Amino acid sequence: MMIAQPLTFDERQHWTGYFQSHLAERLQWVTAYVSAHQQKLSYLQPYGDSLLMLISQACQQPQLSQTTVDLILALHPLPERWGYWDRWEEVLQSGARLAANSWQAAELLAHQAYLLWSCSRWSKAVAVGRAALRKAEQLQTILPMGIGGSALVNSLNALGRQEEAEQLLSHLLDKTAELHSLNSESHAITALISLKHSQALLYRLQGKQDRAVVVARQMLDMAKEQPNISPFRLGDTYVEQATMLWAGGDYEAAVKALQEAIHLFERVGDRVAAIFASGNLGLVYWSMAQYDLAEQRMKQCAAFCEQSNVRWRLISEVGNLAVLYLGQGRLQQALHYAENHFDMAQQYGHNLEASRARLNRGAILTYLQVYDTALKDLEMSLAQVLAEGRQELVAAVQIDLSLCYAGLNQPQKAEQCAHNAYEMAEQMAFPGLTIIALRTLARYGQQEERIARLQTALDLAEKHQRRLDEAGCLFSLIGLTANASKQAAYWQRAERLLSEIGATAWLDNHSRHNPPFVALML
Amino acid sequence: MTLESITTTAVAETLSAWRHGGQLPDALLELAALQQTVSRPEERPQALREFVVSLLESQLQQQRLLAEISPKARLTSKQAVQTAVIADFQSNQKELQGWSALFFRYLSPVNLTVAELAAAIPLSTRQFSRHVKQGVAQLTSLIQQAEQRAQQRSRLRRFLPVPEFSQLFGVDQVVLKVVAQLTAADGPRFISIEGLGGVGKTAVAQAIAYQFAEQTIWQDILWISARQEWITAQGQLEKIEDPVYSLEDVISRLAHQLGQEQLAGLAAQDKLTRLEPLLASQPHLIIIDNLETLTDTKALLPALFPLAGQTRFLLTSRYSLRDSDFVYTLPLPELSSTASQALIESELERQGQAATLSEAAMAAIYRTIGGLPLALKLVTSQLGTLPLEYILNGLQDARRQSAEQMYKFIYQRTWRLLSPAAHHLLLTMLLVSPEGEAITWMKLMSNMPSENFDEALLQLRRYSLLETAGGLEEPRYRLHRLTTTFLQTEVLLQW
Repeated sequence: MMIAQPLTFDERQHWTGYFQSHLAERLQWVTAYVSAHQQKLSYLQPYGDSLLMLISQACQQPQLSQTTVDLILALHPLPERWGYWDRWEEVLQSGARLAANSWQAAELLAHQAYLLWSCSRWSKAVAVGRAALRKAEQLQTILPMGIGGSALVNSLNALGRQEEAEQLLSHLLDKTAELHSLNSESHAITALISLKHSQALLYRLQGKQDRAVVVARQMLDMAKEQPNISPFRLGDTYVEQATMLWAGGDYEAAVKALQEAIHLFERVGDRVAAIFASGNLGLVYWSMAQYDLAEQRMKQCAAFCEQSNVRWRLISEVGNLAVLYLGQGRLQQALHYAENHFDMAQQYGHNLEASRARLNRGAILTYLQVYDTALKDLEMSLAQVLAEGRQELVAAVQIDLSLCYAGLNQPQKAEQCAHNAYEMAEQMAFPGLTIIALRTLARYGQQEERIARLQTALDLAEKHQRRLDEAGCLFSLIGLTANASKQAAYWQRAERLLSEIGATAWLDNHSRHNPPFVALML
Repeated sequence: MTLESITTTAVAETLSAWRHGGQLPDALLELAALQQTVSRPEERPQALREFVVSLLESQLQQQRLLAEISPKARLTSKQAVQTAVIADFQSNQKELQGWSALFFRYLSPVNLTVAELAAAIPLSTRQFSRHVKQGVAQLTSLIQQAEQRAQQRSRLRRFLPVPEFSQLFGVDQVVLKVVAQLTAADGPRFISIEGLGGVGKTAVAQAIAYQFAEQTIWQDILWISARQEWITAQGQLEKIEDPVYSLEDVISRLAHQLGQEQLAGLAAQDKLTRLEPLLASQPHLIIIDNLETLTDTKALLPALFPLAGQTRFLLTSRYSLRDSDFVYTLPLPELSSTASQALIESELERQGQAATLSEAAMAAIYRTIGGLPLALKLVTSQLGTLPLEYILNGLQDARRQSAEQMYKFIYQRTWRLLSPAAHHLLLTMLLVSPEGEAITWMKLMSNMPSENFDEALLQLRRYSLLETAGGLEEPRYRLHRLTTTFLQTEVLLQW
């Protein structure tokens, strides 16, 4: 009995064949199984690791390429919704290689590009997006053209290549319209929704908030009319719409859209997307000066990102927390977060967030009256956002620079910056920006003119529920009136507002005779 | 459940339901003490009864010992019960009288009425009922204490991974030593258990942590570990962007486990500064498993040092940390001959083999294999099928060449012993997560009829080819890395 002999070549050949056919059969079965359970995310999630293992084994078998690609497409986007961003990106890449020149390759590349864009890996997203687009144009397939094209446009924008992005988007919109009739209706609509999202983002960057809101509305209407739209996609569309509504100052509608998205995500067990949407909700609450609610949502999202190692999202959450603490008047805490935001963004090579962090740090240092250091940050930020063509941020930096120059005893420069910001704000339908620009400009000119500006800003702040700005206007009005009872009324009202929103730190070391100048934030 | 909800009424109603066969109130079925022993809700009523009876019996036994009452024979008649209750009451120990009255009123194996019990002592029924009431109060307090301990245990265990072992061999001295060092007031703040992969460092750390979870020394026990690798779509083994990867991640996990969510988003240094007062003032045990997998080990220990006031750190590492002068290092060697023997005996028992090995046979196995736990398990599993002499023949040659050759030899032999169903299931394991998978998915992936699957699973378990994790409720099975390598390099071609 020679039972410890190594397996012979024939035996190993037998077992290899046996294993291959078992793998092939199970691969086919799992593909059908996954397709049947697409909507039951939470049911499949416990087996996520094993599903990826099965794919990794199948990828090594060239004869199983077609079934492997079918499974990857059937499984998409579940693994990325479960948080396997990096691993899934790699699987999509392998799948595209296996699919060679088919429409599936174009689709997989498009999904890969979109995933890369979502994770802020823009340079790679551009390369993969271009590859997806090449294949899609060759094959005249509209779905990868829309998804991959959208990822490409968005990434170009993020890299500050707006002109290129704009031209490409225009080309893609024409091309998809041309190909509409050659493709299935649902694919055409999905492609168009993706491109509409890019269009809205582009409008937002250009400071055309009203147009961005309109396009976002169209995008959502199209998504809702799609009979078989996945809840994930619909949820994402609500999130995308909420961003535009928020930027347009319609906070209540933004809250509703995000709540709808969270509801959809929770219904299908998409915990990650629900937490991210909740983080976005925190940002809207911040704009509404509901700081406690905002902090709770942002902290929850940041803690999740830390525990799950989601650096690309954590960076922006840390930045949001920095501005939250600035809003509350907790300036040292805000500075801690802004410093960490900057360090993390640099470490991760996230230029957009690094520039946002520098801008926020400059603003915080201005309120801390560390003007020299603040000026360096703000001047660098201005150059950066000008190069990126981000209009709303250009105006925002001008506002901070105005305060900083004033602190440095350079009143002419300060006033010039205030005017620049106001002129830009007038061209953009961005109420938050208009309000803070008016507040800045109200520091200059004749008394009546200053009061009028503050009154306009106050009305707008009330209308858009920007209570920190309301308080800010009231504090500024105190200094423009000699009437003691009016002063007392302004003070009381502003004090109550700060107390309601949890920002009483602004009152430290201040009184009616020495009112604070509360932060000017977008 | 809260301790306040464990009331004398709830206890009395439960006892009464048992005595009179009525509906059992829900009140005590949610005890944490029960949830740790049974998983299915329908098993809880029985578990509750066993729990209460054991509490009561142990109190009775202790009190009777104190009162110098000799142990009772089995109580099988009314007369025996009456004799027992009389003896308990003659002790004049109020507490014993309470336990006795309660036990015989509700849980006695022979049912007597209150009147019969009271008459035997003799007492009026009213007086006897007062003793029963006293017993209910004593039992309520005892259940509350047990519940508090169970909740404490469950709280201290909440971050600990489920142990992958049922029994450990040859590490008692190491465990004792580490426990003593960690609890000594002047003991080292950092202890590192070190040794080769697979020698059992994590298991020792788990054993220590679970031992401490039974005590109240630590305010909390925190556990941080890292998964290290992932097989890519190209079949390559790669380091992954792992949840615990850097100093920053370790600090974030610490903050999270300490419930300091408000620190989220702060830089690592800021978090450390804010955690310092908490950890310095309250004793915490922090275990960092697989320290060598972190990218910045050198930066980690000095950064954590300020946290170690009352708090102690237990580390496991493949690489020695003896260069850090504040770390006490403890190498974990291979199993000794005695420990190897205990492991072999335990494996034989697990396989239901009554046969024991002679000392000479044990010595021969140890001489051939050494103290490598996995090799010992694999070889022991072959003992039921093959004669020892046969097993050791050839193995000696392989061992002389290298440990790898020895494992290859053992696996080849085990492979030949497997049934077709077991071969099928073993190969199927290459299609599931290397971290382990639940039976549901394994079954689906094997596509085997239930009876074949069960038989194959049993066989693979018998031959120690599957590792288990995840607890009894929902075990997860996985292959040892060496088993995977054998399948990929010795069974399959070019895989």
